[in-house]
Amino acid sequence: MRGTLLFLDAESRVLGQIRSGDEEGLVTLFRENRRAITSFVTRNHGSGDDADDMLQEALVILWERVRSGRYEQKARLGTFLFATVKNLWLRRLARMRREPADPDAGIASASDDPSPLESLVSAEETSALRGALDRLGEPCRTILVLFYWEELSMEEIAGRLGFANAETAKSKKYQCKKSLRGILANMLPEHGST
Amino acid sequence: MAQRRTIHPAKDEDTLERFVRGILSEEEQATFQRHIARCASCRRLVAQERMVAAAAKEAGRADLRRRLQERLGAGEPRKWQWLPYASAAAVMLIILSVGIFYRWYLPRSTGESAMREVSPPAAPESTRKELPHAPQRVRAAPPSPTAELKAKVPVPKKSDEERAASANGFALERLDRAQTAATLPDSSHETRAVAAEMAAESPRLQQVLPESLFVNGISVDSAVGRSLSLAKGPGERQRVSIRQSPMSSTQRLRIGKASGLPQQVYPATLLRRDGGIEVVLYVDTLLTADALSGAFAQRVGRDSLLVHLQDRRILFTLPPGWMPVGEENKR
Repeated sequence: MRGTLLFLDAESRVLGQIRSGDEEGLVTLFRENRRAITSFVTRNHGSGDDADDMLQEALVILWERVRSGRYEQKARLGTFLFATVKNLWLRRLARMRREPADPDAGIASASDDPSPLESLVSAEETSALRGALDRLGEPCRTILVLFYWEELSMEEIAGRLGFANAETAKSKKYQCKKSLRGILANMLPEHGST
Repeated sequence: MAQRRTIHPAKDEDTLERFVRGILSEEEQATFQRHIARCASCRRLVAQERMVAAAAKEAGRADLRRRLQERLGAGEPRKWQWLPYASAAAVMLIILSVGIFYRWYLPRSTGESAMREVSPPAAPESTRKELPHAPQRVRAAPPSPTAELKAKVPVPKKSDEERAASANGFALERLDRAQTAATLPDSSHETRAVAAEMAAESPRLQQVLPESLFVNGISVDSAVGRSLSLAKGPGERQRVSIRQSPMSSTQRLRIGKASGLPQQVYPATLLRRDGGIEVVLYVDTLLTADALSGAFAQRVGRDSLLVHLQDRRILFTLPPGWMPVGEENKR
């Protein structure tokens, strides 16, 4: 009982860190789960680097879910991470082998949805879009990341980036999106033209 | 505003963003979807917004991953990466060792039985002087008196390994460790039950060798002290040889179950011979000659026999009327 309470306390502390934007919680989870994840990936045709890659990806998914309030703690964080890695890795293996993914892989997985970008465009287009955002430069890149990924309000973005007020930040964001659409129109004509 | 949404809601930046983020109200969502269903330019705007949002999220993820990698950096050596290889090597080593043991060591073992002259631990000095010729060491066993029993009594089918081991004369069984209460149970009725069952299964046993009886032994952990207090008086020196005979584990379990004893039971045949008592332990696996070298039997009191086997002691209660050779006339 005492052990369970300690475990719940530790998990709550990590979740609290993530909710407040403290990335130290992710580092803790990485260290605690690296061994199990590496064991799984290396037993399934992967390398240690693959395992680290998968674990980091799972941690990012956890971060997104917790920050957006979509994370429901039904099991230990380690279980969530392992299930997510399993699904991600088997999906990658299936893609590499041109085989269908393991139908059981998603049972316990918390990340059945592929990357939103991947669901929209091909791998080549994904690369192009990442390049387009980088070409925007700052502060546009940060504004769009804070708005779409961090889901911060315009007031918070203004405060974070030092704009006079939310309206100023919103105006800047609009200009940034317009620029990005222009870049996309050149890079991906089928998506960019209106 | 509401009128503009009705006309082209996708061209309102806020509405478009909230639609893509999935935070419109149900009514707004329905209105929006009805509109874009018949507005091609609006669908393109939605597609563009989705791509912008997706690109920004992907960039956010990449940033987080990069920060995470920087935090972990080179400070996370994979210290335990050798573990799977070490585990595999250890398993291979164990398999190899077992293989070598069975391939080379076991077949070279010799000696079918061990015999040790047992003297009562508490025997007076005068008693020892009366029997100066009594051997104190393990010596070679006489020809097996159970050969006839083996020939005529159905014995469990041996595996090739058991047959090979038996042919090479392994002296004693490998017994499972079983620690039980130190009390010496009065197992005479259990003994009779087991003997009756075994006799029923092997009717020729008592016909051929009326001097032999099946008994059951139990493992005890502090019988040495008891033996010191019970073994006394002249004439108790006797010779006990210990032999093994294969018996399937299933049959052993059945005997143990039939005895009704909670402890692990070691079935055995007692043979009364001129030279002493021979204990034939029925086993499913065999002990090596080395393991046997330290094994010996010890009479404990008038009706019990204690077999010492490394760190185990198995107590056999002699059936009623049984006593060491040479004592019949003393009773």
